[in-house]
Order: sequence, then structure tokens, then C-alpha cells
Amino acid sequence: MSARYPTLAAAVMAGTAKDRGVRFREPDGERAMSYAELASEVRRVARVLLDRGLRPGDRLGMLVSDNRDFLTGFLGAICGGVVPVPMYPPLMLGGLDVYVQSAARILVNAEARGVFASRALVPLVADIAGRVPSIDVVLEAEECSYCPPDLALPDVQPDHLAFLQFTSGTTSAPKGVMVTHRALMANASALAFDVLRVDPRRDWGVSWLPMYHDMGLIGMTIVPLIMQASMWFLPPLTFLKAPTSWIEAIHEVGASISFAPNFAYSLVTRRATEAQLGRWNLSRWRVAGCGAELINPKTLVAFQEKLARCGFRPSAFLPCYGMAEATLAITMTPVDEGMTTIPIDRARLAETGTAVRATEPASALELVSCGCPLPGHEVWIVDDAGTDVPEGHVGEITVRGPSITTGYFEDPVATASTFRNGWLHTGDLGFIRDGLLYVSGRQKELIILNGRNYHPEPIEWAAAEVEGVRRGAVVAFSRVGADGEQLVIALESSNETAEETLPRRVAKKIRGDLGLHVSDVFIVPPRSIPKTTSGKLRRNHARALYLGALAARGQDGQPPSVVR
Amino acid sequence: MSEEDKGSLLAIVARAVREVDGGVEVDSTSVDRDFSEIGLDSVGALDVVGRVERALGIHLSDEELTRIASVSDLIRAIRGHTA
Repeated sequence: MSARYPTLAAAVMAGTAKDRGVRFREPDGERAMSYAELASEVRRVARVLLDRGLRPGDRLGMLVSDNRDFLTGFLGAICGGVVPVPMYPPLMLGGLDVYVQSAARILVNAEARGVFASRALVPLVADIAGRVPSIDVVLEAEECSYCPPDLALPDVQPDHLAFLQFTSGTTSAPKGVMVTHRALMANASALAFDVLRVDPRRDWGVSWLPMYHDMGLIGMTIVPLIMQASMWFLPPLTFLKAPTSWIEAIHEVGASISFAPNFAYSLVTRRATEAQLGRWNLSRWRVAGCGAELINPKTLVAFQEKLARCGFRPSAFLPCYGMAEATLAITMTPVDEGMTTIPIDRARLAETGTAVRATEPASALELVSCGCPLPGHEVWIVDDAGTDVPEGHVGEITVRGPSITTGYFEDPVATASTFRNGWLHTGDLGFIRDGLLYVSGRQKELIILNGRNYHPEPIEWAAAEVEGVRRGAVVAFSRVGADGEQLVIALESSNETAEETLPRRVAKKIRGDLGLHVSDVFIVPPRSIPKTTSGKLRRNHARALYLGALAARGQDGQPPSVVR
Repeated sequence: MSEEDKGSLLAIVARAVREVDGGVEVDSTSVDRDFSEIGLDSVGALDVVGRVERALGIHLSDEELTRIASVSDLIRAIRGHTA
């Protein structure tokens, strides 16, 4: 029945279950499809794509907001040998101009031959496609419902490119991770068989995660699919408009598996009502996965305390660590173990890079274990010279194994710096203690907001265009808020008289240009952001100034404000 | 739509903004500001939209949402459903 398949195409085609499948919970009702029906629908869509002129190996941008259309389109491309490129539909409120530019950059980078889009997005796609010379096929998802000629489907091989996963939300040079069928199946099979031990007779899941993002696509769609375990999919917007709808669905269907980033657990804790808590039964929920962004132990503890009366078990928590460059998962907590935390001496960690247990709570930094490497994978912590460091010492997290992807599409420079001799250099900092990985920070200066990665430079460039910002004296970094990371901008002002409105104008500019919410704008004294060529040094310096000022101010989470 | 109805829609939206963490008081002077400027990131803004939808028994489509960046945009979109 379920087996380790050589390709995703083989896994989809092997769908025979008539009593298990995927269900799409939409605002206007639920639609169901068994895995047997999905297999035949995907075969049909694959033939439609080939009939419309796409050829194996062509890249196809996926701009689809509806889960069912996304899934059948994505898998149709896979089975037709076409390489889908999942993309964010315009979920943001406003900011369509920015969206069109960044979508076009991704398609240019992917040298996309076509775009597969929801009908409602077609006008937008026309605008995007006009900026991408390689595109000559634009397909409406709704137009693909015809019965195509009985074309032969290509023989999809394990080393063929399965899809391109673009990693960064906002950057002038997007990078597309090349995921082969071999890497994809290695990661998904390890998750399904070895870590989660999915049994389709007793396991089914609920997901509101976007299918155009790795955790939703692989963790909550492909993993259940290869096991033919049933899934209920909620649109991401349903969750964002009403966060408790996620838990409501888990309760209703008695789901045993669901994953989400840290911020989702935090939202539910704050939104759950007494009536819901009195009604929910979560006793079947055995895997509550948490990943995609730094995990705040307080968030999970608060969730557990609030939902314990619903039968939620703390042992269900399954913190994990991963990234698109490793297909998805790198380390995972074994099932039924729950969250393991360790209080680390904050000062020793900062000064010597060693993780020593804190002796008093006041000096402790509580870190969450992300578990151990997937079977067949190795994780080593290395110093700047690439040498292994002893257990308990902080260094860069590097990974080797069958899930590691083959690099960035058409970007040999970025590929060579990140993938070295078979080792993925994650850019994340961490240490190993008792065989468990703890992530303590980031070497790459990525800012992760609600599970999406952003580079600081484009944010800084946009802020620098605001009148009154001193040339070259602006840095962007993140702080840790209650729900995860928040964006902070520190800058020097060139015009004291206009300072009062500067934070508001900078926040508006970032919002307008990049669609990002700025949690604080910090005006630092003139010449306090060092003029060095290392952005990292400058950001670290500004962050230290900021955290000092914040501690003195004794508050956080306020809207943009001037701090001096 | 009468001025009175406009006022009550604003009151409903203002209450939703207040209920969502980070939201500040909304009045006629701040209706045209982006959600970001009144302390709401995209997650907070969608939370506001969800509360307003439930209060009024309406559903704003994904496409409508792409055109809503401020309280006044939201009120305009709601009017299309309640008129």
C-alpha cells in the first residue's frame, strides 16, 4: 500500500485509496477527493499541460490561491515532467505594485515558460508576464477542466528536478532551491516512515499552511499523500481571519497530526474563548509540529496550559528545524517526547560561545531543542574555519544527507558558498547537547517575519530613500516579540526638525515598497551607526544600542516611536 | 448609505481593531492610514477583517482583500456587501 517511492510522480500515481483522501474546507463548503480520484485527476491535468504546449523540464509558475486548484495543478505538472514553481499569491492587503515586481523577478530567475493561475489572478498575471520575456503560456486553472487527448506521460526519474522552491520574501535577487525527486522523497519518506510513523488507519491531519510554502507543501501535503493518509485543508486566509478555526477543525475531525509555526500557537492561545475551550476535544492530536521560525518556549507552554483541559497532551509537541535548502526537515523531536528546553547562561553564550546551564533564572536564556537529525543525515557544528567544535559549543549548523538539495537554480556563486563538498552550510548558529540540536541564532542576517525570510538590505535601501534619513546610516534587524521576530529599523536623522514624523514616514515607505510591517523605528544619535563595509557589524552595533534603549525605556511592542 | 450607517460601520471596525493586539483607537482622522500605521501587521489586519466579517455575516473574497490597505478601504469593501 504505502511504500518508499522513487519519485513524487510514482507516489501520486500509486493512489488507490477510495475511502481516504484530501478534503478542502472552503468558506462555501467542503469538497472531497479520494486518493484514487486525485491520481486520475492529476493524470488528466498533466495531459492538459502537455496539450497546451508545455514540455518536460519547462518551469511553470504556480499563482493559485485555491488549495484544490493548486494541488491538482502542482501534481499535474510533476506527473507531466513540468517543473512547478510555487509562488505566493497576493495575500497582502494592498501593495500590489510591489507584489507584481517581486513575482516577476522570481519568474525571470526561474526562466519560466508558463504560469498556471487562478482566474481571478489572471489580470495580475498578465501584468507580471509582461515583464518576463520567457513566458509564452498562461493557463487559467479553471480552463484546464477539459478532457485532453490521451498523451503519453514522460518517464519521471529520481534525479529530475521536481520543483523550484523560492526562499526569500523580499530580495532583488531571489534564489530558487532545486529540489529533485530523490531529495524530495528522501525527506518526505524519512518524515512519514521514520519520524512521524504515519499509519493511515489511525492518522489524519489538518493544515491551514500555504501549499506554496515548504512546510505546507511537503510536511502537510506530500507526507500524507505518500502514506495515503487523509487530510483536511483550510485556506490560509481562513486561519488568519479566525485563528481558532485551525483547532476547531482538529477537534471536529479528530485529527492526529498538524504542524504550524510558532506564531500560530500564540494566536490560538490569545483567541480561544471559554466556550471553545469547554467544547474542544483534542485527545487524538498526537503530533503538534512546530517549525519554520524560531520557537519561543513560552509560546508552547502557554498554549499547553490553556488547552490542557481539551485533552491536549504536552507530549504532542514536536519542535523541528529545517529549511528549503534541505528540502524541508533537518532535525525533528522524536514523537511522544514533547518539548525539551535548557536554560543557558546568556552571558557565557554571548562572550565565549559556549552553552552552559544557567545557575539562576535571571541570567538564563531558555532554548528549545529541535530534536535529532533525520535518519541517514548528519549534523555537525563548525567554527568559522569549518572545523568541528566540541559538544556544547556554538558554531554554524551544517548538514549532510540525501535530503540536501542540489543548490540554487542558475546561481553557481550562491550555490558554491552554501553547498560545500556535500555539506549544506545553513547560516544558522547552534550547538548540540545530549545529541539534541539547539538553534541559538543566525549567522546570515535574515529577518524571519511570520515564517517568511527577508534580507535586511532591500529594507535598508528603501528606508534610505526617505527624506531626513542620513545617507548610509540605516540598518534593519529583528527583535524577538511575543509571537516571533519583529522588524526594527535604526537610523540616523539628517534633519532634526523633521524627526518627529520620520518614524511614521519610514514605516509607511517600507509598507508601501515591501509590504512589511515595521514594529519600531529607532533614531540613534548622529555617527553612532559605524561606517564599516560589514553590514553585520553595523547591524550588531545598532541592535545593541537599540536593546539598551529598550531596556531603559522598559517597554516593547509599541508602534513606531522615537527613542533617544 | 446614510452618514449614520457609515458611522456604525466605523464603530464596528474600530471595535475589531481595538480587540486585536497592537491596534489603537481608530477615528475619522486615522481611517485613511495604512493598517501598518495604526499598529497592525498583515496577521493583525486579517484578524480585524475576520472579526468584521463575523460581526456582519459577510465574506470578503481573496481578490477584494488585495485592495484593502486601510480602515476606509475596508469600510468601502463592506459597503459593497451590505448595500
